[in-house]
Amino acid sequence: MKNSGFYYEFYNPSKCTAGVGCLADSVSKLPSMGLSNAFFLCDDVEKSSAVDEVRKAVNAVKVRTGALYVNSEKTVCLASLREMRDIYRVNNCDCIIACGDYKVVNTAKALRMLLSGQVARFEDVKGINIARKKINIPLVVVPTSVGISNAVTSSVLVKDDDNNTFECVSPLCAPDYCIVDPSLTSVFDAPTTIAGALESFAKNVEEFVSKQAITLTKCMNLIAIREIRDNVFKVVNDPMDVQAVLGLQRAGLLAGACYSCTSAGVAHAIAGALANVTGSDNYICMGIVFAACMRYNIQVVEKDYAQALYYIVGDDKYAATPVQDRARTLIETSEKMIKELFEENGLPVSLSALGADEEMINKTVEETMKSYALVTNPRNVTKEDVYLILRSVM
Amino acid sequence: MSTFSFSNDVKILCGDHALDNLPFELRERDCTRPLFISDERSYRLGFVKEVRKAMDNDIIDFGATYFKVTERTCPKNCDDIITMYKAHGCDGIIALGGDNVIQCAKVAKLMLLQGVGDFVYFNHKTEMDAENAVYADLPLFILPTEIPSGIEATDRAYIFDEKNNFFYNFNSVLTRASAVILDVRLTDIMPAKVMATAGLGALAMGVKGFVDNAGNPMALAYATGAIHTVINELLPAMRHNSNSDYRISIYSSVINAGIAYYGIEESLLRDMTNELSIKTSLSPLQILSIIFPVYYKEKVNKDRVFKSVLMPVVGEEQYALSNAKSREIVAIDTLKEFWEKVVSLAEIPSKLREVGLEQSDFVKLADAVINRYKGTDPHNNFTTLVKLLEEAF
Repeated sequence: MKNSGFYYEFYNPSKCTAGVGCLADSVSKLPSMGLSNAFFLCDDVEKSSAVDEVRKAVNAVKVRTGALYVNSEKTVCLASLREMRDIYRVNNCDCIIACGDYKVVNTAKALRMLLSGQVARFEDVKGINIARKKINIPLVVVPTSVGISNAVTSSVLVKDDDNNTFECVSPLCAPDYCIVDPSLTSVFDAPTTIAGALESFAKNVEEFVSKQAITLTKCMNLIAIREIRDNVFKVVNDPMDVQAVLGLQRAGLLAGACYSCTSAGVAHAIAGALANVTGSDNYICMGIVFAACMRYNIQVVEKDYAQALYYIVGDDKYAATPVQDRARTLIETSEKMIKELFEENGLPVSLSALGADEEMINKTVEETMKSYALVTNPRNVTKEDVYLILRSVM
Repeated sequence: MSTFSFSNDVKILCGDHALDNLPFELRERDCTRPLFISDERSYRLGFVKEVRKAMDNDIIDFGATYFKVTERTCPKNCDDIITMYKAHGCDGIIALGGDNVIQCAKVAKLMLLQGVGDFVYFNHKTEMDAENAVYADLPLFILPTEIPSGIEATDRAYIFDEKNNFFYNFNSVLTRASAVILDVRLTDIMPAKVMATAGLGALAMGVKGFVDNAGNPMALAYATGAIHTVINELLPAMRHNSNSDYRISIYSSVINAGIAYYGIEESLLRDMTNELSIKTSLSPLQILSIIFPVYYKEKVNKDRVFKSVLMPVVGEEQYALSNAKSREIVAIDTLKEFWEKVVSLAEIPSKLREVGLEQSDFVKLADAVINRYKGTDPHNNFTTLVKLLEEAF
């Protein structure tokens, strides 16, 4: 190592509390944060008892529900955001409390940015660090899904009036407080659990090999990968296992904490684009392309993959795997794990099974090249590379 | 898996040209008239000039400057800072310097946010009610020079009131910095001795932070990263002390280890380190580099978590090959070997007697530490403490 001009920034603005039954104690701190009249955002009041529980706990500490808004858009659109902003103002709310899955969390973060930055037109804050804080709008999120890696990140996805998805990155998106209580987690079907675990796993692996990874983020990612290994099958087999759910959620929090420093990589760029083009769920697209993207990156991150293998296979298998085979074994093990989970649950494992055609592939290539995630991928990605990755999983 | 909580919203900017981002960070927080505080040493070494240079092309100017922070923190410094701050209508603080400047700036921030006009107000009170002021922010930018102490990005601040012989130990979110900026230009080539002390101090804080934060994955990552960095980069950093990458890497590990270490609610080790630091006028890092080997030797047999420390110490390969039943022993032996190698290469003190402490001081010292310690671990008692001091002697 020489005087290389090494530089990094690390910023994780959200406070996190995670534990079984931590809700009551955590919300008792809300009044001291200046919260009294909440804009309460949730996904499904009817089906989820979590929303009820959170509202009760919040009301018990004298924080009123100034307005209740139900939103379950996959990616929130500008029209909904404008409506929420107006309701927030009319009801004199002084904070946002969001309870629900990753979609609700994304919506709440976007709304906070809109209100806190007093943004007149959301289109004006597209990109990185454009919005600036004008007023303080505390945001508390209580995620109720297994996959919570977006809960504490500083980025949001929004759909514009022409139905195009764009990303905004700003510390204003990150919540002040993230309360993770797995006993509030809805009992999901296996695919939803897989979605959460896979999103968290893929994010941690991509962050681990990101061009901007630092020792601290790498440590967070490795701890998270071990938590996923220890808990993913437990949750799939028994979604009521709250300790195992907590393990997966902790892994998501760690991934989220690193994200503002590392961003992600080519797999996130392609999976996001593919989901947009095909209308499929992001996690299905991720499951299809993830191993191929790891293979694509292996030539520049072989050592990192080899190291990460330990956290997937443990002592004996790691020691027994020859050094030169470890990186490849990581990819094969990840691929096998994803395939097993997908096939057992009847999910597609190839692009053809997803119904993607050549035109969709070409469109996905174009979309992928617009993604910020490519900037931090360890290899410089070209259009041709993306095309070849997609063809390899046809 | 028990409940864990983690909060550290201090932005860390670290490495080459980090200082150039100061104007941006000030603007981000609407800080247009910062009070710039430092000490004579930083002025003499040209660090003040570097900060001025970084601000030169920007419209933001200093609201006022105060470069008279004394070598040892004292209440008067805090009072002077808040008087200056108010008199010049400042809206933020830039603190450039060593531990003395940083601690005073943190306490001054707390005083300003709490509306405390004079340090006398505290009158031996060390627990602050921070609850009502959490959102009344006052931007504080910490620019450590030379060696960081680990306290920079934490909620802790210590002031020793020599006149009244009282040690103020603040633990409040109101002392928290907005950003810590660690720039190569604010550091200097250090002798191997100094690097060794910083590295061993970081290692001690990292190991302690690791063991005591086993259930907190965030804090654990900070500790793991610090241990890993010190083990892999301290010896090269001592050998090639003109290499700024190594230097920044070790300093950044001190800051990260500090986040894990100072986040521990109660720690006898920390209380003892502070007491010895006051007594000997050595920095807490210097004290840790002496007493920690004795401390962990004592703890290892009682704490099975210690076996996991082996991972960041030796890496995945050796960890996987080691006997799972004796990992804590291997961890302790490996750390000991590393410690002795660094101490002998750098020729730094390894015993309390080498830093002017007398055995006759132990009873008074142990008494003071036990009085301050608020933890509930029954092993942490007067007898254990005296034994520990004797071993470290």
